[in-house]
Amino acid sequence: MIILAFDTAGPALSVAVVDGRRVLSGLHCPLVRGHAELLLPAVAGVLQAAKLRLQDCAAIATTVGPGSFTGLRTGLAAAQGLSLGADKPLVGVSRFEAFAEASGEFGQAAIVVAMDSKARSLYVQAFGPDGTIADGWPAEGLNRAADGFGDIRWPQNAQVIGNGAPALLAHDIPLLDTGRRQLPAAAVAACARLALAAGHKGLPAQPLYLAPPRAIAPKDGGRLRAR
Amino acid sequence: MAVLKDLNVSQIVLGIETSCDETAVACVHSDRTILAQTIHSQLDEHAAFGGVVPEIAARAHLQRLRPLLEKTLADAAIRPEGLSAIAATTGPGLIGGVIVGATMAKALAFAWDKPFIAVNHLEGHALSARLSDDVAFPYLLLLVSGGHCQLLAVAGVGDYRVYGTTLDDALGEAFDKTARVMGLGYPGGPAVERLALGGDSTRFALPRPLSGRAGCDFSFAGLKTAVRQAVERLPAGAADDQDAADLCASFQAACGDILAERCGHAMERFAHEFGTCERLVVAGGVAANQALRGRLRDTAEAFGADLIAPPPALCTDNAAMIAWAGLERFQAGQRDSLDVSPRPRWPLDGADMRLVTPV
Repeated sequence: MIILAFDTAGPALSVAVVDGRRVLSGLHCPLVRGHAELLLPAVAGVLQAAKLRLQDCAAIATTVGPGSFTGLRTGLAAAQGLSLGADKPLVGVSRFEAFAEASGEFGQAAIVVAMDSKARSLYVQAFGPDGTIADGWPAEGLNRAADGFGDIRWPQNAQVIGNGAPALLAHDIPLLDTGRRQLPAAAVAACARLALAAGHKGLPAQPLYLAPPRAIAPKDGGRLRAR
Repeated sequence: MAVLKDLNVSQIVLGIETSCDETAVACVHSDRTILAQTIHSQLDEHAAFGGVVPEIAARAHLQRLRPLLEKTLADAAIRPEGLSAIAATTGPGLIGGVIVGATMAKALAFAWDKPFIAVNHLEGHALSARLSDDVAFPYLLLLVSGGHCQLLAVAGVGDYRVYGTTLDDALGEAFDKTARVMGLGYPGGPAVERLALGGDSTRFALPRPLSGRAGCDFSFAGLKTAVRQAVERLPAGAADDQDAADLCASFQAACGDILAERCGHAMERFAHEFGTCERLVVAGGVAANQALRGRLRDTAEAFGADLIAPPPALCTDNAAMIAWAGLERFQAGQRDSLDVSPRPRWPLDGADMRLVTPV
């Protein structure tokens, strides 16, 4: 099954076309800004390098978060457009799961995923050795400052992956460092393949919001009182 | 363009608009028929805040756009092969929404192997009267909306000369803030217009910023502040419906005076540059205000010109005008590459407009 996958929600642009476990073609480059400009040309280039057309892909996969607000919008809008245009299913993938998959030991060893939120906090999720969310951890993971994880119950012998790992390890958290910081799109494709194989549709192709919009309604609709 | 028209080749462009608080999709034919259009106005989402909240808008566009695309294509009964190009607002506007619309349009263009056309939202407004009324170039345009207020000469597709623009707030924003301090809800324009009908426009002496000065620029900040101060000066507990009606009428009269004076200057300049000024076109959400339209019609007629205003649904933000602007650009031989930047600011007359690569 050929899957086109990409991730634009972190400090990189990652695109891959995979067939089963085999990566046919891919691109991964550090990129803080410019996803909206480079994503579609990158998709075109990766497909061309694999000598494939969009129609040859069985599904489109992209990440739904947690990640950059604007990056998620770029990735999801592109994925929705490609999915609608090519009439192919769109599979939403959690960046926690994709990172865990990228460790190569998801479902075999305990994995902690730690991502820099770029807002002075870390997005962290823990998975047990069976690949399910570790005991006591919320389904949506945690979003806290790096020094706010002291009271957390960590799975035993867990490995940590993601660009938030150094900040977490600096606070003496008992985790083994995988040394891996990047999320390759091939891992996103792998999660999508597993979801489709299990008969799931994956997550809805909408961002995973961890908080409501940051907006405060003015009192009384902003109406002034006569003095 | 002439060649295509002579051969009677019909073209259809799909347009997407997501630059503020409307998510909109339309299919427009080169014979000026709007084959289908759908729009979701995010009024309910933003009402409690008294204005558009960018983060809420960005979330809503991503949620709404794909279903609207599917419905529009179904309503138009058109297959992708029947489209000539995909156009989307690529700026200026709230960037979270612009990214969603422009990126989805690029993805569709890639999937369908069709040209992508990056449309300036202001150009959509500028050319909307050609879709509704087949207005010939050149013409003078007053663009008045919640985010923009400018006077420009529209000499041709991609050929715009800005005569004047607001130095502070857009007129639509002044309407919204006026409504807000009086507790009239959001959006404020229709509420202010309705209340003004029963009000005394001479009761409150409000300023006409820049009055008597040469040029075509606008300023509304002082007027907005004066409205707020007028509300604060009302006797406590005495603010009643008549106060609100009188203040709305006084505010709207001030707006009419300001528009009339600045448009007068612009028509003189246009006549000087183009030999004559036969048409004043008004577009943008504020152009839906009937009282202001009447005032502008009088102003135009006093100058010997016709006032042309597209129907209200084409004045407020919509995708038909984006599809139409895309179609005009397509017919002029222009195409955009998929690496075009969505941009929060994009002046209509700058060198920036040359983002389009002729082929």
